[in-house]
Parts: sequence; C-alpha cells; structure tokens
Amino acid sequence: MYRNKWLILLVIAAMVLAAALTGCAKENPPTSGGDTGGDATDKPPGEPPKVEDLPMVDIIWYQIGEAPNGSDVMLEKLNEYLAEKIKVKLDLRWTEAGANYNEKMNVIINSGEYYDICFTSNWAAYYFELAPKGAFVALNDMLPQYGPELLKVITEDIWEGSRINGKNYAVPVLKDMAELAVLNVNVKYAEKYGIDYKKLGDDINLVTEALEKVSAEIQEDPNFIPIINYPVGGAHGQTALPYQQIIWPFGVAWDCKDPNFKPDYKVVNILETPELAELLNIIRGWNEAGYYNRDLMAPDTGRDFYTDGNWFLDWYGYFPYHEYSQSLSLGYKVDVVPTTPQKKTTASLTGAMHAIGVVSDHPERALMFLNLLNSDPVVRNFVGYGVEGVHYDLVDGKVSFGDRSPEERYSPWQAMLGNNTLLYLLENEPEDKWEFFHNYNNNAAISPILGFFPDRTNIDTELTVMNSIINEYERYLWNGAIDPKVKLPEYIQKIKEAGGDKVINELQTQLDAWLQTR
Amino acid sequence: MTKKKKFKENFLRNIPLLLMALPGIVYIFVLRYIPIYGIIIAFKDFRIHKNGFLYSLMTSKWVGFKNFEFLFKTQDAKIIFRNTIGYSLLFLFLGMIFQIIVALLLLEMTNRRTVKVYQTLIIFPHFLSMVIVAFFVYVFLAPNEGVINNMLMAMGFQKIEWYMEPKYWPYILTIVTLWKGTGYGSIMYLATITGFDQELYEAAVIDGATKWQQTTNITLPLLKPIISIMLILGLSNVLGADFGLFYQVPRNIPMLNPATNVIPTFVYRALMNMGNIVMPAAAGLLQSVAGFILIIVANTVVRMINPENSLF
Amino acid sequence: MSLYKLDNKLLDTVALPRRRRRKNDGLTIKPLTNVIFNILVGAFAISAIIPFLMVVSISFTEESAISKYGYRLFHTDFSLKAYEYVFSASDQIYRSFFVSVVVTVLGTILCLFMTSSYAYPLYRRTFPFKKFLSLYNFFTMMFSGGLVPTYLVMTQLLHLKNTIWALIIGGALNSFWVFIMRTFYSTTIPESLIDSAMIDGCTEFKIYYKIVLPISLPALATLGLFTAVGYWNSWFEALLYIEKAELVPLQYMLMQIERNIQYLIDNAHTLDTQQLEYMRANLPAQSVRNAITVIVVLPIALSYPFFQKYFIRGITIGAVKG
Repeated sequence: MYRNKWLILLVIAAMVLAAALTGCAKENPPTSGGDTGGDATDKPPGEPPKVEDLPMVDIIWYQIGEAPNGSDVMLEKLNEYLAEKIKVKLDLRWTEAGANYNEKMNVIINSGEYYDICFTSNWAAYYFELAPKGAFVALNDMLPQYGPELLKVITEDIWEGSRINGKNYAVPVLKDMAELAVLNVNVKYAEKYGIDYKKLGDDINLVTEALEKVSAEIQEDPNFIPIINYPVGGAHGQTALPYQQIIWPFGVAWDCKDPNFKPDYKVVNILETPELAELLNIIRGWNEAGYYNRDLMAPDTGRDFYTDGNWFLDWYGYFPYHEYSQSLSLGYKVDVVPTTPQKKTTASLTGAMHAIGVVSDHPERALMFLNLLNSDPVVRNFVGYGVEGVHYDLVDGKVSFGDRSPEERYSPWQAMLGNNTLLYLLENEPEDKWEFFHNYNNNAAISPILGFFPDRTNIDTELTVMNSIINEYERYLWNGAIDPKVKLPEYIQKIKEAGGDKVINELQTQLDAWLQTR
Repeated sequence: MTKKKKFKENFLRNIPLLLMALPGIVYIFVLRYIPIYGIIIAFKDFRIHKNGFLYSLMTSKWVGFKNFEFLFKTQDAKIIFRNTIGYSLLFLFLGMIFQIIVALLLLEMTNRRTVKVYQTLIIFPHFLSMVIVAFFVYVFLAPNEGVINNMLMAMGFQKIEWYMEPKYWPYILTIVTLWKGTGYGSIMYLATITGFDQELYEAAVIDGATKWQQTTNITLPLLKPIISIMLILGLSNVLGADFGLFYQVPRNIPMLNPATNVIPTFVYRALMNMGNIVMPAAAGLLQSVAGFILIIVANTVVRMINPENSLF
Repeated sequence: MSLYKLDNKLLDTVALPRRRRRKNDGLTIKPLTNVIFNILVGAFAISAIIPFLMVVSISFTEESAISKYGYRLFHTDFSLKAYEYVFSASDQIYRSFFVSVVVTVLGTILCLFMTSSYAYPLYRRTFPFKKFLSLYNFFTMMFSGGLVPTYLVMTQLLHLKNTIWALIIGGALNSFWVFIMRTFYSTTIPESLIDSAMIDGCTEFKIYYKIVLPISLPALATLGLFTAVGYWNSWFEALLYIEKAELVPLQYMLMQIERNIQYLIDNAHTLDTQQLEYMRANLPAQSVRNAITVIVVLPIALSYPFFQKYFIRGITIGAVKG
C-alpha cells in the first residue's frame, strides 16, 4: 500500500528536518578552543585577566528558591557594580525549590539550552548524575587563573567532597559544611517532668525513660506528641549509627565518636547490621507505646507540630545556632542535644553548589563571577539582602529591616546563594556567629571515605530498582509505623534480590581502587 | 503511471477538503512528527555535549535494551504489569458502562431543570486535583477519626485499618475513579445521543415499543460506533495509569503496594529527583509499543465485524 | 425544497419554547421510574459536590480551628482572612487569572477549529486520502518524541519561550477528538444531506459552515468543554516555558503549592532540615491553599452552563423534529 510507504517517508522527512532545524537554530555556535576559555592561555597562569581588556558579557544564572520581592531592583544595582568590576551583566533566574527546580533544570540541561551558571547539589539538579554525564565544565584548570579567591576561601577538604575522578565540576557554597544529627528538645516539657535533657544524646535508654515520663502529658493534652522523629538513618544519612553510607543503604563502618577508629573499608549493607535492627526495635517499642504521632498516615508537612508547640523530642539536622533562631520565631524555648560529633561527609559537602554549564560560551567569565560572589561582601550582600536603604538598613554594621513589612523586604533562600560568611549579621544575631561557624566546620570528624563517589555505570539498573524499594519502605520504617521484625527482613530480602551483592562487589572494587589513588 | 495520474486527479478534485485539513496536517507535522526522533534516546547511554541535544543524542553510545532492564529486573515486575493492565481494563469497561448508564438516566428524566442541575454537579469531581481527592479519601478512611470507622464503631463493629490492608484497595481505587470520571465522561455520550434522529423513536412508539425496548433496540445500537472507537482508543493506554490515583490516594504506603503499584508509580519511585531522562523515556516507549500492538489487533477485530466502526 | 434547506429551517426553530410532551406518549418514562432515576442520580450528584463544599468551608475558616477540629463540612469560626491574604499579598492572582482566561478562550477556539476541520474530511466517504490522514493522525497518538525534543521545537524552532502561545500551542489539536468528531459526524449527519447540498451547488466550505457545524453543536460544545477544562487546568507548560511572572497562569500557582507538599512528604527522609525548613516556611496556610483551590475551580465550573446550553439544545432539536 502506497499510503503506508508514505507514512514511513514522512517520519524520515521529519527526522531530517528536525536535524537541520535544531542544528541551525542553536543560537550560540560553539566557540573554538575546548572546555576552558582558550583565549586566555597565553597569559601566565595564576594571574587574573585585566578587566579593561575584557568585553562585556551576559551571564545567565539559574538559582533555586522563589524569586524574592524586589529582585529586579537588586539586579539593576548589582549589575552597575559588576559592570565596573568584571564587565558582567547578570541575568538571575529563580525557580522554586522542590519538584519544579528539578524538572525545569533537567529539561534545560539535557536539551542543551544556553545558560552559564546553575545551582546543583546532591538533592536538587542532581550533581552526581549530571556531572558524570558531561553537563558541567571541569573547573580545575581554570581555577588558579579565574578563581584565585575561591581556592583561598574554600579549603581543600571541601573541594574534595564534590571531586569526581579528580575533577571538580562545581563551586561549593560555604555554609555549615558538616552534618550533625541532634535532638531538638522542647525545654518546657523537660522542665515540667524534671528531665535532664542534656544527657539524652549519650544513651538511647535515657531517651526511652524520658519519653515514658513525659508521655503522662497525653492525659492532659490528647494532642501532645512525645517524639516526632529520631535520627535512625535513611537516605540522607544523618544518623547516630556507627556507619558511613556510600549510596544508601550501602556503606562502611565508621564510629565518628571514636577519634582513633580504624576503618576497615569493607562495604556492607547497613540495613543488615545489628545496630540498625536494635535501634529499629527500640523505636518500634516507642511507637507501640504511643509516643509517636498516633496518626502517622495523616498528611504531615511537619509544620503544625512546631507551631502548636505540643511536642517534646524531634530529630533535626543541625545548623549553627538554629536553636536560637527557632526559639525566637516559635516563641518557646528549643534546645539541641547532639547525638554524635559533627561529621564532614560527601553529602554534607555537596548540599549547595554552583556549576558552570558546558554550553556556556564564557565559562571563564562565569567563574570570575563565582569568584566574586564568594569573596566580595558587596556582591554577596546584594544577592542576599537586596539594596541597602531600599530593602534593609545597616545599623552599626548589622542588618535592620526597620518597620518594613515582609513584602517590602528582599528575602531569598539565603543559605544556597554563596559564601555565607560574607553576610552581614542580622540585628538579633550573636557577634560570634561566624566564629562559631568556622569552629563548627573545622572541628568536624572527617568521614574516612570523604570524596569517594561511585560511578553508577555498571550498576545503574540495580540502583534504580533499589531506589524504588527504598522509597517504598523508609517513610514508615523509621518511625516504627511498621514492624521491623517483619518488614526489615522483607526490605533486606528485596534489596538482595534487586542485586544487592552485585552492588556491594562493585562498590568494594571501586572503593579499593580509590584507596589506591589516595 | 496510472497510479500517479490517479493520485494527481484525486488531489486536484479534493483541494477544498485538503485545504480544510491543511492546518491540522501542518500542526501535526511540526509538533508531533519533528520531535519523534527523540524516541531513540531510549536505546542510548545519553551524554550531554555542548553542541546541543541532537548532537549529544547522535554521539551517545547505543546500549540496546539496557535502559529497559529496570522495569523487568524488579521482583515486583509481575505485580506491576498485572496491576497496570488489570486496572486499565477494569476502569475502561466499568467506566464506560457507568458513563452510558448515567447519560441514559439523564436523558430520560422528565424535568429538564433538575437534569441541568445534576449535570452541573456530577462534573465537579473532575475539577479537583488528586491531592485534594486523596485528602478527601483520607477523611473517610482515616484509622481513628475517619468517617467510615466512626460509623462502624457507632454500629458496634470493629474498626478497619484501611491503609494497612491491600485487599480493600482495588475497590477503593475503582470507586474513586468512577466517582471522579463518570459525570464528565457521560457528557460525551449524552451529546452523541442528542444527535440521533428522533423519528426512529417515534416510529418505534407507533410499533408499540416500550421505553426499555427503545433503549436496547435503538439507542444502544446507534451508540455502537462511538463505543467501539472509545474502546479501541482506550486500549492504547493499557500500560498507562493515573499517577495521582495510585500514588497520592493510597499515600505511598508500602503495605498497599501489592494492590497499588503500577508502572508510573514504580518509575517515579525509582527515578525520583534523579535527573535521569532516559529510563522514563524507555518506559514510555514500551507503553507506546504495547498500546500500538493492542490497538492494531482491536481495530482488526472490529473491522472484521463491521468495517464502519473501525478506526482506520 | 432540498433536504438541506429543510434542515436549516428546523435549526431556526430551536429558539422556540419546547412543546410539552403528553403523558404516556411512549417517549417519556413513567413517573415512578422518574423518581427512582432522580434518587440515583441525585445521590451521585450530592456525593460529587460534598468534597468541594468542604474545601469551600475550610477556606472560610479560621486557621486555628482547622488544626483544632480537623476537617469538617461546617465550621463555626467564619473568617475571610484566607481570601484577604490571597487577594492582597500581591497582584499576581489578578494577572494570573487574566492569563488563564486568555489562554482558555484562545486555546479552545483554536482547538475547536483545528480539530473539527481536520475531522470533517475524514468523515467524507468520497475523500480518497481519508485513510492516510487517519493513520497520519493516529500514529502521533501512539508515539511521541518525549519532553526534550518537544521542548526544542517549541523554543528553538518556534521561539515560543516566554510567550502566551507556549501555553496554547501544545493543546491546539486533539488527536483523540479527531476520531470522536469523525464518528459523531458519521452517526448524526447522513451523507445524503451533503449530497443534496452539493447538487444545490454548495461549496465544501459552505456545507461545512452551514450544515455540518450547526448540526454538530452538541459535540462541539462537549469538545469545547473538555478543551477549556484542559487549558484551564494546564500548568506544566508554564513550568517549562514561562519565566515571566506576568505570564504565569492561575493553575500553576495552585500546583506549585500542591507539588511542594507532595515533595515534602516524599522526601522527608532524604532532605536535610535546612531544605525542609525552607520549603515548609514557603507553604501557605491550609485555609489559603483551599481558598486558592476555590478560586481556581469556580470560574470554569461556573462557565459550564454556557456549554451545557448546547447539549440541552441538542435534545430540544430532537423533540421539535417530532
């Protein structure tokens, strides 16, 4: 039938046309000279280029977070400054956090659409998936020349966290670089029931005792929740267990409480360890005793518990001084009890980064901008607080919003924007905030496998299937809503059947090879 | 040569009709045919290159069916495929029956004004997103404060842990689907029926046909073409499922998975936030191919019975 | 008088009041059956509206009462706060409303035009290319190139990023409805009607415009309704193609909130607290969320009677004929 032949011809025609059109339509033809700015190689390395010689360029920057009010006003002022400083005109595009940022960046990055800088991390615009696929420019060769300040501000151990096969594809945002699982304590109830909460981090049996005492409150207030969450584990790995994850649930033994711990670098399934099973059994006991929110399937966005204030314990990922800011905003006293020392891990170092797209025509200029963003307080405070006198006032070197309503302020997602230690303090923040911050970062226990991130190529299918199993169980296992005696073996079995041993072997091979290169 | 001549003649004679179809032809070509080259991504180990998507696609390595493996390597594969196909067929047939029944009821009711009100009301669930529907289902089924458990306990029965027992979920999901889609879907049948020639009914009355006989002997046979079109087209989506219905309504609870896990929820759980565009493309292609085969088979069967009712 | 003119005359009488049917004329059902039907459909209608009423009720309730008493159909603590917040927070809601209306109206008209005019030749028995064009359309229903290639056509070939057309083009022809319309034509418009019009010297365009379109009003109204709802509820195009606040549609604002809630629930075990904290802080209160839902659902629901008129009219046409 000639009609069917026609259809095939049409499909072919469409494909040819597509090839022609998409090829032609690319607005920015690739420049000659490889990934790094080739035009500057004749200058001696390590010396930043002279600004007067540079042409003016536009830099498109995709950033996570809802666009703050007054973003345009800020950008206008900032661009005046940048034009003079590095001859860059910044086009800052905000996209809401959550599914939206992921989905949008996925399309932009995979389609090869033009952009210069984008936010990436281990949880949004997924760095460890996109960087190995070639989405971002390797920065190592460019850094001495175009990002000298970055090398000073960001220490070597932080760079190591996002290094893939010896290359860095993103500039980490300096914030709290260590992770720490703490118990958030609602002090009101600790005092009421005479609980010495400061010791709760030492021994889990003390937690059980405290919960037992405090649960008497339920008689008075039926909505009272003794514990919202406990730091058990899970994909993020902020856990009190003596293991360090590589890809959840696989990891190596590491007791961060013991500074003399000798790691054996043997990859295990953390779900199969006795410590995890014991912890889950205790937690199941708490759930059965009714210490958890009794309506676990209820739609929980976590917010109402804190505003209502009728809770006692919660698991929290610590960030410096959050107990103060939280107490202030909630109107009742919250204190924190660490369950481990703070840890520097691959995950904690890759929570916020900026990468330069491989499609960028001016990677070196984009890097110059990132260099400035992370070292120049003027730039950082522009993107962080907006325009002085418009969005905030500076009183004694501290930021004051005066009588501006929240709509008149400029409030972006601060922590994700760039070197946070350059920020002015808010008027109610303690003077030693950044000092505390530096101490917190510098005194962290360092993961024995910091900087190791496995290549997924050979185990991609297995990990993908496991991901679906993990997402199936974790939500209800960690708070004892389902019985670990039945469900944990089932969970382990499913992981095994999905190729658990193959993954362990592959990870072990890669880890051994990585150890050799160290 | 005669073929060519005939084609030319046909073409010239039908220019007006071709002109009418022209906007559609151009539209379909640009928006549906040009992007179709993207299908091959399912067979590639996709790498991003700075020369753009097409260049990246062409230079990426072929990996055969590797990207499809994750759909079959899971030990739940059987359950997932069974659920997806089972629910699709169930919803297709049951949905159609309910939509036609409601359309017929609305048609026969004597008071036009109440019919208008009913029509307006039953279409409402369609406007609510699944997040809201899921919440509403929860209000009914919540273990402690849920409407149904309260009623059960008031009547002296044991309460039921709806969110723990997979065996209730095929019914719950079916009820939600019918509740949400029936009103909306019935409108199409109603519109079709209103186009029928009234004289047929008049003639039937003269012959002494009852209302029931009019329905079975006139209305339903006249509906046959639209029913067969809806069935054939419905089959194309047999490997698809409404993600919100299977993910948000059962609250992603692991215990319910035997009854609620379908291909879209599995793909979502596996690739959530991972930035992988290749594996979802592979799942989508599998779905298309399966649907395509089914539709061809169904169309052939329909054509053998009555060529007038077939799709092409 | 030729058949087509006769039919046109019949159409002109549509505006006349409907003749009262005699009781027990065999065309209407018995009163008792009518009562039973009313009870059945009535019960369904009530169950269909209750959740929406609940959403409305919550949107008018004091936030504290919701966390205290949970969800109920009737709340005592009446409050307009949620609406005040939604309407005063920014003028975004007005702009978005306007965008949604423009997209829905333009999109529906375009889709009706494209779909019905593509379906018409497929219905004509004498049209030699009908099989090919059916297949041509059908094939795209089954296979699509996926997100990224479509995105490239929209942005690099058609240059529609950040234009209102990006929200409209994607749904401007409905392949599924091409087949439904074709089937509708072939069951309701006898070929003889077209033939006699041809003999009277009508052109194809005139036949389509003067005969086919008026007869297919109920089907067009149905297609129009489905399309309008589709456009009103679409948001994903906005996520992909729109970066300007003045072009964001209403539904996108609602979906952003709902997706964030879902995201929080899904990722509670993988996100760290800073990330969770930020997203929670950006979630509006329960009542605000419901107020936005009401604002999104109501306009399209209220415009439904406009489309409905044409279904009812179709029934009336049948009655007048007799």
